Amino acid sequence: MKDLTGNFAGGLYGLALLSLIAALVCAFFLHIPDHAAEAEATAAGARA
Amino acid sequence: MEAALEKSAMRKIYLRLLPFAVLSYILAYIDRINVSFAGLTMRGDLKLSATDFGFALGTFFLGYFIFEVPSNVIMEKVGARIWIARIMITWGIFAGAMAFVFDTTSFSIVRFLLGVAEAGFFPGMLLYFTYWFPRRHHARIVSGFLVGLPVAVALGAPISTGLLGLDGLFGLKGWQIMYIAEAIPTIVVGLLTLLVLTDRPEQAKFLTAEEKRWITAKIASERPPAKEAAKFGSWKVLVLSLMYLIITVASLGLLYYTPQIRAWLDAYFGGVPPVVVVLLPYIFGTIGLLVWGRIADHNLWKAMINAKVLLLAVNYFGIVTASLGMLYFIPQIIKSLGDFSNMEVGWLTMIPYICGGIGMLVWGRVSDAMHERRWNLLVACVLSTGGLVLAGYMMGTWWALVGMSLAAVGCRRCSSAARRSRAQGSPGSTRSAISVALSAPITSAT
Repeated sequence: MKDLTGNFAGGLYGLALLSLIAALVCAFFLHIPDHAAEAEATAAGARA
Repeated sequence: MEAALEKSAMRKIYLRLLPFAVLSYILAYIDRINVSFAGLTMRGDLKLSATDFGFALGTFFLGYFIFEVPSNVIMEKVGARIWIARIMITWGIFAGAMAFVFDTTSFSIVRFLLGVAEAGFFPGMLLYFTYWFPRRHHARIVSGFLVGLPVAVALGAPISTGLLGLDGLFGLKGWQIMYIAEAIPTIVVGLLTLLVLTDRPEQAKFLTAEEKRWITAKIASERPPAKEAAKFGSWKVLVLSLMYLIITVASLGLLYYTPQIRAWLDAYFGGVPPVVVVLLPYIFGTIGLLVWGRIADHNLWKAMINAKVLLLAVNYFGIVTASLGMLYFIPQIIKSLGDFSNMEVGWLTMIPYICGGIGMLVWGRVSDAMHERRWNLLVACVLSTGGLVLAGYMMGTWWALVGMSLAAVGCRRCSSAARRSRAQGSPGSTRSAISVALSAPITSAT
């Protein structure tokens, strides 16, 4: 990317764009389950 | 009673495994990133262009990517102790062999072999943790393990640049001394692995019989069905990996010879725009991949064209590329801030990674306390974006270093969260592995 844009700043903007894409995917599409919390909740439910 | 047993067993396991794991990871990362410091002088000595240098860096990930899954499969068969020792000793040898490269081809080959040797170390350690740590300890052990990364960069920078300063010692260039000096500890620790690691809790001499029974029963009760993992353990997967290696070599050959092919086409058809010639095979390849993927009735293919898997791959690709891009270019960006010696560049490189390491630990605890992952990851991605934009906009000033430090906090947090979800087997071991595998070649190509 640095070679493509011809300077380090351009490369950094390219990397920033990739971070932004990761953020957008995270905001709109990603579901990350917390297995530890789920297991604890299940165990608490079973105890109750 | 059980709480006391857990406390005493886990304390012993943490003390036994975590320091060793962190040390190994530090060495792995130092050997992986020292090339960015060596690049400060090595490029000039070997007369490598920026493109040649970038290509050789990428070959590491090619080797790593191809042999990552088979390495884990073999580790499952032969045991962690022997296999992790093998990984460390061979990568130490190839890391040292970097001192003897003399042109782009030898540089690329040794980087590729380094990737092959190191492949499976990181996922292997994550797999190894699942043999020893109950699920509710996974976040803690993975966070602790990942601390090795910022420490490696923080320590690696001054050590590497200091060794570069020994230029001329024993008639060697500074970068040659650096590669050899940083490879030796890896080989030594690799040999020590045989003494320190134990394959499974039931074989551990440092646990009491009661503790062994407890940890073995606890891990067994949490183990997910092995149905999906079994697919990766079959001989078919090894054959597929071999086929993939052959295909990749052919594909890279095509890449190498594209200029000659272009010249040949130009002679016959004249005036064909170069971009068309270069892109045409890849356009056909992409269409073929998509069409074939649609018609192939195979679980692996189904997983590959699964929308969620592709999105996870996009997410991981963005995080890892930004993170690695920073890693490789920070020394050169800092050098552009002023007339610094290599040693000073090394010290300044520590700053973003110290910020990243502290941020990762603090943020990890906050995220655990909140029992929340997604929005924490989003904020980390946004922080990383903001930091990189600030660094790009303020290039050539000290604000660029502030931006890089903010981006390092975001990137480290992102990587930690993404790898942690991978260690937990989410969203399913096969799909998770494929999503990471899909992102790896694109990342290295970029």
